[in-house]
Amino acid sequence: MKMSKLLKKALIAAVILFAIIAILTSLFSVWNLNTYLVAEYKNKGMSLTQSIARSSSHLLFNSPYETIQASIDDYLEINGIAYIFVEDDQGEIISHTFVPTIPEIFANHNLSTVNLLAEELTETPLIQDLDIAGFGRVIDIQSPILAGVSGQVHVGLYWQLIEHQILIATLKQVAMIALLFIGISLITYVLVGSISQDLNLLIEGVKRVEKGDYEFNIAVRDRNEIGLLALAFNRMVATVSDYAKSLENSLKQLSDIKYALDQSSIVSIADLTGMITYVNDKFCEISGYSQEELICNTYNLVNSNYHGVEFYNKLWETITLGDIWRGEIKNKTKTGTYYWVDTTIVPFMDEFAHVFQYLAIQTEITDRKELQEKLEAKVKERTKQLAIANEEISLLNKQLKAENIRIGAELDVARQIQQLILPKPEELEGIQGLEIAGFMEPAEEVGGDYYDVLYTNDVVTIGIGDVTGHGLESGLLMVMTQTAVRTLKELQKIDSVTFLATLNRVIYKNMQRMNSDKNLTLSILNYSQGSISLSGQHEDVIVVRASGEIELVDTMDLGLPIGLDQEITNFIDQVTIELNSGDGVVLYTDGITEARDINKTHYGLDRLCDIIHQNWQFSAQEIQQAVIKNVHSHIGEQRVFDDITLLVIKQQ
Amino acid sequence: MNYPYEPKFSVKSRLIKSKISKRDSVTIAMKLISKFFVVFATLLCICLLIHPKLVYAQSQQLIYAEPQPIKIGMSAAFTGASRSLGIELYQGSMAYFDYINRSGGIKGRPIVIQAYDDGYNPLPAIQNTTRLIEKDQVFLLFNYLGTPTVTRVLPLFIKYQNKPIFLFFPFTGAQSHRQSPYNQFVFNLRPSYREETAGLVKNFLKIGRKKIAVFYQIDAYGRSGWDGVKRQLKAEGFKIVGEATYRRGTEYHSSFKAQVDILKKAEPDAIISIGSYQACAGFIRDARTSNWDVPIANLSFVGSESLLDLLLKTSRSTGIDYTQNLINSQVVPSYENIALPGVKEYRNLRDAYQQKPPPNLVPEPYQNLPYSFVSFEGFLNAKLLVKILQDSPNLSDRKNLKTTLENIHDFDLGLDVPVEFNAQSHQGLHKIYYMTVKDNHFVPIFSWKQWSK
Repeated sequence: MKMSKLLKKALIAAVILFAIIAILTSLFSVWNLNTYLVAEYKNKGMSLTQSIARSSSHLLFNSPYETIQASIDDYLEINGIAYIFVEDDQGEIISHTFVPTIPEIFANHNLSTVNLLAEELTETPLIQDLDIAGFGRVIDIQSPILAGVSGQVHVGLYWQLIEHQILIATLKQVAMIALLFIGISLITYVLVGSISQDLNLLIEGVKRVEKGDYEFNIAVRDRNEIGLLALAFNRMVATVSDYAKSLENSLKQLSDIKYALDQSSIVSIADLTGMITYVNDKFCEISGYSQEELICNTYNLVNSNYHGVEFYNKLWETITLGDIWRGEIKNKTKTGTYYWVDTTIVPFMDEFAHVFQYLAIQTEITDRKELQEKLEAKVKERTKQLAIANEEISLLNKQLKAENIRIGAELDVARQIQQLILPKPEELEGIQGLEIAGFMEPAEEVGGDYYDVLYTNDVVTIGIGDVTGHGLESGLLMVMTQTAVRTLKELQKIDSVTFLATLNRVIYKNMQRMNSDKNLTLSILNYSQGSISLSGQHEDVIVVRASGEIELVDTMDLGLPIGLDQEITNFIDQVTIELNSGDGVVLYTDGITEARDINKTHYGLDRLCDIIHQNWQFSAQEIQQAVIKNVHSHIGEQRVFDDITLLVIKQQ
Repeated sequence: MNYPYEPKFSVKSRLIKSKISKRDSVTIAMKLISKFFVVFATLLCICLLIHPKLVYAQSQQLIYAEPQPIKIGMSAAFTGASRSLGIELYQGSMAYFDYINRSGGIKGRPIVIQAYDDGYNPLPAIQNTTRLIEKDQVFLLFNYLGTPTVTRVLPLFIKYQNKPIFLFFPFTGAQSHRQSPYNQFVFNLRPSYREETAGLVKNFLKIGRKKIAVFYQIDAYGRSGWDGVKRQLKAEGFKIVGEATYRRGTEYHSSFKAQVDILKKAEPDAIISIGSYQACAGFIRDARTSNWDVPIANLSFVGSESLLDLLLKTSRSTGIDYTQNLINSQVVPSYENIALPGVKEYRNLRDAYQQKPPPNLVPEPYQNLPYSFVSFEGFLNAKLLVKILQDSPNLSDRKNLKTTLENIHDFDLGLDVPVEFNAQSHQGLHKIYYMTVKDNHFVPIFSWKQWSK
């Protein structure tokens, strides 16, 4: 059994104490017993002797010696009596129990002879220690009969017996004490052992907890103090375990943070006096100093003298008050080069809110600082250049303004020409069998849109086109086209192919002369008695039936752009559209379909068809207005880039 | 068997009783009572069968119609170192009682000895006496043996003095019961040790042997003999020159060399040995073995035949003659002296009595002696007792015994001297006989001159 040291000591002490008590008790009781037994023995002998003496007193005078002999024989049976003898007043032994004969010492002695007259009589017994052959040591008790007048009685008591009795009693006593001692020792041992076991469990528990094993739980066997201790221990272990786990987590977190910090930052810790107590590898790496050199030194070691005394005073003032300081510091390495660090100094405070150390977390910003310096230099240079450029630009601006005004005037003329050449409303109203509404809105820069309605000999010729590009040149081309179309119309009886091919050649040649690369799409419609012939390439032609049903006629294969090539005859084709009453066609330029809203979404053909379909029951003028209104609402406040042209033709 | 039945019945009856009429209940009660009587009678019979005392009492009344025997009590050594004395004494007495019983007893009543063994020890003797008086309710005590035993029993006679109880003819020559107050309760036939020792001392002195030493049993018997020797020597102006003792019960095979050496130192002219046969024989053996031929005289109590028997047996194996210079005082004449009618009668009746002593009294086998001084004394004791019983006017009153005894004058036991009692003397005989061994037999000493110095 493993025993607790404390209890082992207690056990040994208890055992020693018990042993001492046992020995002392034994010694005392042996001494006591010895004294007591000897005294008792002597007492017994004395009373015996006296009783014999008293009973003999009358026998001596009265009876034969055999009576005395018989009476002393009885006494001899008492344990421990060696001998008894009676002597008469003459000192002669008249009865005895000696075998084989009276010992020498008594045979011839007359010591007890009493001079009756001379001496004072006594009844006090006389006790002597004698050594008699055959008996060994005896206590001889001599008692006078009738105060010695009749003689004496001697009783011998064996020393041997009393010694034997003392020995037996002593042995019993010692054995009992020894047994008691052993018993108590054993009980104590067992008790101590069991307590020890509990204590050892506790100690083991503590050791295991020390090693970090929180799973250990002590089985509580008792409700005594140790049991309560064990319970408390178990509870404590549970609590500590929780704490330890959270601590472990915290530590893990902390160490992770530290690792991260060490990886990312330059970390150092200084005490209140500014003496460095900790630096990480990054600090050493950047400063060029080793840990040994840095620790127990101040930051003066890396001072670059770049910052003034005021800077550092401000820093210390902040952190000594317990506030966090942030700033950028230029430091000097061991080799004399410089480096910049973005620094955060955090003062650490104890539970009394007293600062006891500072943690400095720094990040190297040397590169940034250098870049910044370079940039600043560049910016200065550029600012200088810009100032020069600015002067030039404002000069140019002035020139540009003047130019713009001049161009604006030119465009105004072009626009006016374009507007002027369009057919007049009364002209359109005069056409029999057709209701026609036309609309053109030139863009700020002239777009070069073209439309015309010519009525000659019951044939209505309608043209619609769009010149590429903007500006004066485009406007000029539009005017030329109008003139050419009218000219050809006036010629009459010219088929569509010749009409367009001739028109193309006129424009192409003029463009060659003008040294311009502009051209235009152009569709020509000839209406006569409910039938329209269509030729020339432009946007799709929208044919609307009286019911509002819409058909689209693709013009891609009806011709080529005008002015692009000298000869386009082979490419020109013609389709015929039959119109009944209420049917009509709608012509437009890409200024409508490509009109953009704020999201740059085109107005689109579908939207156009929809609005036409919805308003077809109205007059051509009303349809035209509804479409334009709808397009304008689509465009909103956006700038109009291209000319907007719409032509609604409705058969009556 | 009936017991458990009864309560059952009564329970049943009680149940019935509650339902039936008064007249019917009377009939039932009568039946119950008769049943109860049957049960009671059965139980009584069982009780009687179980209880033997009741039956015994009944049968005794029925069977014993003849007169009650006269029961006399005896306590003596039937075991131990002195057992031959007790056995011989008993056998001698029984030889005569048997004869009397065969011839019609005392007034038609037989004499029965109720004997117990005391092993020659005082305590059993006291126990036996109490038992004889209280339990056996003997008519008288008879044939007690030994001084230490009788000496201790004596106070009981004072205790029972109102009964009174008397002891007839103890086999001891001690002085105590020959003196007041015990001489009123103890009656002796044999002479005292004092008389024996005085006779021996006188005879030794006469032949010039004046230095006398004593070998004795260290108890009342030995002391009594020692006292007798001392007194006689003192009367003649001498002293005991040496003394040696042995403890009562010491057996023959023990060594007595120490005693022999002690007495040798005193250089005595003669030794008077007061002991029982085993120790005395042992002493003689060791004295003779050490080539010491001093005359050694033993008292009557010694049991002469037993002593001689032991010595002769040893003699046969060692070749030494131990019987030289041995003297034995006796209180009865030699049983060889057939001239005496008492001896003749003794021998006839002893021959006729061939019963062995009761085995419960004598557990170990005993070699029966044809005749012995002790059994002769027992025979004489019995004969005198029968005379007293016959003379006694009323055998239901013990007090008559004493007066009857005191009225015996000049009574002839068939010896060479008459028996004489009176109120002052309660001892019948005074004559001492001296024997010596010749040809391995005790013969009377006719002349002491052979031991003259």
